[in-house]
Amino acid sequence: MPAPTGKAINQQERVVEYAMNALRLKSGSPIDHFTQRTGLPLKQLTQAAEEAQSRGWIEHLDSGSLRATPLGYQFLDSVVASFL
Amino acid sequence: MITPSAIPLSLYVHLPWCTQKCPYCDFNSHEGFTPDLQGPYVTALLQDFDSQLQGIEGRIVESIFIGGGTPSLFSGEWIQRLLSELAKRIPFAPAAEITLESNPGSAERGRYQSYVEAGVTRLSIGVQSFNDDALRRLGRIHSGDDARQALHLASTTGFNNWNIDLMHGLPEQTAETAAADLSEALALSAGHISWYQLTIERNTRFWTSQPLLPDERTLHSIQSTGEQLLHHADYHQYEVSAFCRPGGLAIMSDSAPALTAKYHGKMGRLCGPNGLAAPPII
Repeated sequence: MPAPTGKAINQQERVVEYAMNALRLKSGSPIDHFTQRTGLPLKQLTQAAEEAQSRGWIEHLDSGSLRATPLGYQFLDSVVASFL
Repeated sequence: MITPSAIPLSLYVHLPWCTQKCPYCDFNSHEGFTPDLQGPYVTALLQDFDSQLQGIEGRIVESIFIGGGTPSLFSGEWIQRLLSELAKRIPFAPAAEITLESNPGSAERGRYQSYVEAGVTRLSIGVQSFNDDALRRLGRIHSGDDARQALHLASTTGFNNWNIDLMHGLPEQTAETAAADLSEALALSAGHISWYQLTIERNTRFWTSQPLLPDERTLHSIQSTGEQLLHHADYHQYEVSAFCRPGGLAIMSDSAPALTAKYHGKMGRLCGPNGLAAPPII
């Protein structure tokens, strides 16, 4: 539902917005909220998320949450940028 | 498909004036406030809100953050007008948290009381440091004692809760002076502390004057010592720079996404300087 004024954010921006808002929380976010909040299919998040997990930046993807590791939390700007 | 009804709604309202622009600040804030600006500005905010109501139909506001700038330059009467006009346009949750940012220079009991009467439930106080030398170097217009006085008023005026904004990594700061600042804040039992590192942003006076900041080793020491102090004082870190005590954040028991929305309401303005998101300004 686009706002009547202003600029709708594009698909790529929505992925990064979600990653930023999820990952800056210590407890992360349930991954099924990605589609609810962005309207995009989950696969648009998973490739970058799996890559970040393989680098040790995020953890427990298989349990259905997007959450930074202690290492990732120290370098959060870079982790979020990797979702660009 | 986006499911708007499942997404908690928070509102950030920006009041962009300060008595004096701080040399580190890259927020949308301006000098030159006069009381006669309050009426036209509130009218313009409400027109802006009306133009976007269609996008949030059927939803309930769970929290409002009135940030700035220095919103406490506005009188209680105008904050009341703003909130009551918003409430005519969209329902507030019964326990909606309504926060107003205040700077210690403008603290006085009558004014704080008028914010409580206007419906503000939580005050966020821009302390930044209790150290007078540090405050002077930061270009703040208040002293450490002004901050102590403001916090005392906040705790005795009837707000449900209050937040202390505290910076670290300040010009010429040592690990010891940073720990002293944080320890003083912890002793005041605020429900919430925002403890964040000073960064030098473009379009600020510090960008050109380049004050002497602590080196990386000192910054790391400040960070790790500070996190331990907060932890031992029973403050839980739930976000990069946000710490709360049990009960210090009304919806801590809720799900992470609810908290994310809460975060937008509380500190959406902090997104801007990261260059990652525009703050949700009405």
